[in-house]
Amino acid sequence: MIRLPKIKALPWSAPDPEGENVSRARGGDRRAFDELVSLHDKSLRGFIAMRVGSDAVDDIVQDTWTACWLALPKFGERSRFKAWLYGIAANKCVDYFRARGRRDETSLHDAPEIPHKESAFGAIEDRDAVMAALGRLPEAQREVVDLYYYADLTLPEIAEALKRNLNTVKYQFYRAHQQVAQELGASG
Amino acid sequence: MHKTCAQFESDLLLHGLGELPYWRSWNLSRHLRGCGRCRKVQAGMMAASGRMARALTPPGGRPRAPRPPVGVTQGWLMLACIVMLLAGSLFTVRIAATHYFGSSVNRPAQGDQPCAPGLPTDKCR
Repeated sequence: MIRLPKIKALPWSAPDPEGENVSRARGGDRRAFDELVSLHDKSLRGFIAMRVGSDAVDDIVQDTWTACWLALPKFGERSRFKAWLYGIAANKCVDYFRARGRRDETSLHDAPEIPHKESAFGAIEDRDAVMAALGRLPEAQREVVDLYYYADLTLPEIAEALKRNLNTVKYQFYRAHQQVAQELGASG
Repeated sequence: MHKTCAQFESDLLLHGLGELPYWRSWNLSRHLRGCGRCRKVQAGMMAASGRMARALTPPGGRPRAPRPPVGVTQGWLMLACIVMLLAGSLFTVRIAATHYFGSSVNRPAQGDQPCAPGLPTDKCR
């Protein structure tokens, strides 16, 4: 008789550590919430720095995590925690711009200091050109692009996080690429 | 019905990034096979997308890579599989119907006939 190996957990029922932490944090477990913070804080900080510049990052990161903790009991777990968290962060950035009256032009000095392996001058120059083109995008388009490439969210997740229609998000995503492609093409 | 290039234009980027629904992606793949203009527009968009992905890479992470779109052959194969599955299902239903209900369908009518020794009818009871 052939003895089949015992399957402890099916692939689709494999335990998800983040999901467990989210469930525990929803119930008020502070340690589980701390684990979520340590998991996402670095990339969240980078995302916020990219949007608002380096001066206000600490305050907005703090506000985001506070809002996250307070709203966690209402988190449906239907969506991905990361998408939900970045939705809060994006809203906090909008609040920040609203409080300041207008959004400053994203200067290259405000761009986050992202360590890059490429040390070649060409790669850095290319990144600067792209960041400059991105800085000239309308705010709504820039948000979508940042959430897609930096936060690695899908377009439906972005629509949910920003509470926008999916077709609107797709169009903004397309327009952003069209504009950046034109500018980069024109600048060489 | 064929879409014109202008109608496809907004889908070109999503197609290149593998973000279009399956059948729309396949439809556009078929269009791209024969349309050099759309291929050129898509290549420009994808080049910009690649540069944006590299510029917006999170610290310690990797640039977001596009998912492959649905290829022309892949779509035809999927269509063939669906047709075969439907045909198989219909065949199975037909066989099952014949096997389980066929005798009742073909049972000879006995409505007005009186009870006779050769007839399996309730009227004989």
